[in-house]
Amino acid sequence: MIRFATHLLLFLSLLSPLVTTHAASNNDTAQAGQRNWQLGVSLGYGTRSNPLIDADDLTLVAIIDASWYGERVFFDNGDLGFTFQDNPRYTLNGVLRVNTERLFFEQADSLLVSFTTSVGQGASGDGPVQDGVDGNPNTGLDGSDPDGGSTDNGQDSETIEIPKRRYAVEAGIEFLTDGRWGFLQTSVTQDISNRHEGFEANLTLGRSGHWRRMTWTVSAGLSYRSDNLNDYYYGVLSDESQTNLPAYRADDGTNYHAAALLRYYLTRSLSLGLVVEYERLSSAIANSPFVADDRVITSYGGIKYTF
Amino acid sequence: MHWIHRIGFIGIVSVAAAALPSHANELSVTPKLCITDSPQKQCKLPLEFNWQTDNHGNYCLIQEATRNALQCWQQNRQGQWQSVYTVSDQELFWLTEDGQSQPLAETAIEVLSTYTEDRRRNRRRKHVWSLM
Repeated sequence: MIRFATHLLLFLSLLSPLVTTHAASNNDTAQAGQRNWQLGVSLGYGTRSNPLIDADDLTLVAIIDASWYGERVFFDNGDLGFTFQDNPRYTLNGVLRVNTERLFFEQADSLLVSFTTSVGQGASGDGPVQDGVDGNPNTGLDGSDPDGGSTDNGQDSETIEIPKRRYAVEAGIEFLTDGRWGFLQTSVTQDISNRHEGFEANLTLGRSGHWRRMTWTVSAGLSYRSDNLNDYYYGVLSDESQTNLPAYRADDGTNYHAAALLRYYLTRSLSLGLVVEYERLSSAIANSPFVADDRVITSYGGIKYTF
Repeated sequence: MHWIHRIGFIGIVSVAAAALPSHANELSVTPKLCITDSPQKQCKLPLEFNWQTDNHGNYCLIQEATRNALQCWQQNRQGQWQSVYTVSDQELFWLTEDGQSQPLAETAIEVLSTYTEDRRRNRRRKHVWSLM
């Protein structure tokens, strides 16, 4: 905790010269007008698929959209931020956030994995994956190992303990800009909680519009994740490896994502919303022995009240 | 004795209902909501008003904020008015009897601006949760 606080203070102190310089030269932010809470509640139904083997999808029912923007400090749906520059051309923020990768592991604390094999299929070439080599991510579960519990009818059952992973606190910089062409958001965040000690760089490009009572937003982008980050969440250490969960070293990789939102306003405060997000996981993640899917799909539909 | 109370209650309700204004006075506007991205929170759009009343008479369509009559009708019990109109934020419209200030019916049109005075809100769209 002390190391975390030290990193945070170091991070803020590195940024302070930027703040001072900007505060003295530019008061655009102060002139920008209304800064306050914005609160919305959505009720509906949706899911966020869980790429971990045999893990439950995340169910989305009630979603709270909460943000508060002060002159420089802001809170936006879990992100804490500090604005260094905000002008008609671009916005430069420092951000502090919690990595949400851990959410997948909450649905996969204890797994009894059942799988079907044909006797003798074990030599099919889908051998244990090591060090990010392309192949079947579940190859450790193909029944090839005589200790894996293979039976004559081809049914295997093996208790797999998904390695424990914890939340990481990340800090970084984000650059935002928009115009008639759409919007661009880039960010680079680094772990400051000594959890994975890696970093992530995001780039998202999007466009919004409206037609009659509807608004829409489409966006697409990529997220580069360092080997330390990927390996912490999706690697398997030697002392975590099990019969059907071989040790695995996850390299760095790039995820790609796209999202679309359609919102129909019944009144200014009440609207119906539909959102779909697709994320393609990098091979470094998809090849992890406890990852079953190379994509994460989020979909949600509901009614939202904005206060 | 309970039935006496019930009859009394029903009678009171009936008298009260008869004293209330008729619901036949109607005023509607299309569209009722306009979405814009302009900072001024104004929409210039074609509006269509429709109204009807119980009785023939002289009626006016009034803009509530200015109390100006947009259109008046003589000896009608229904009417329609169309015009390209600039609406700001939220505007109320009344149907009144000519020369009277008491509204017989009212309707409203609202403007929803996707523009926020704080640029950062518009520019931060990372969270799919926010999109929801």
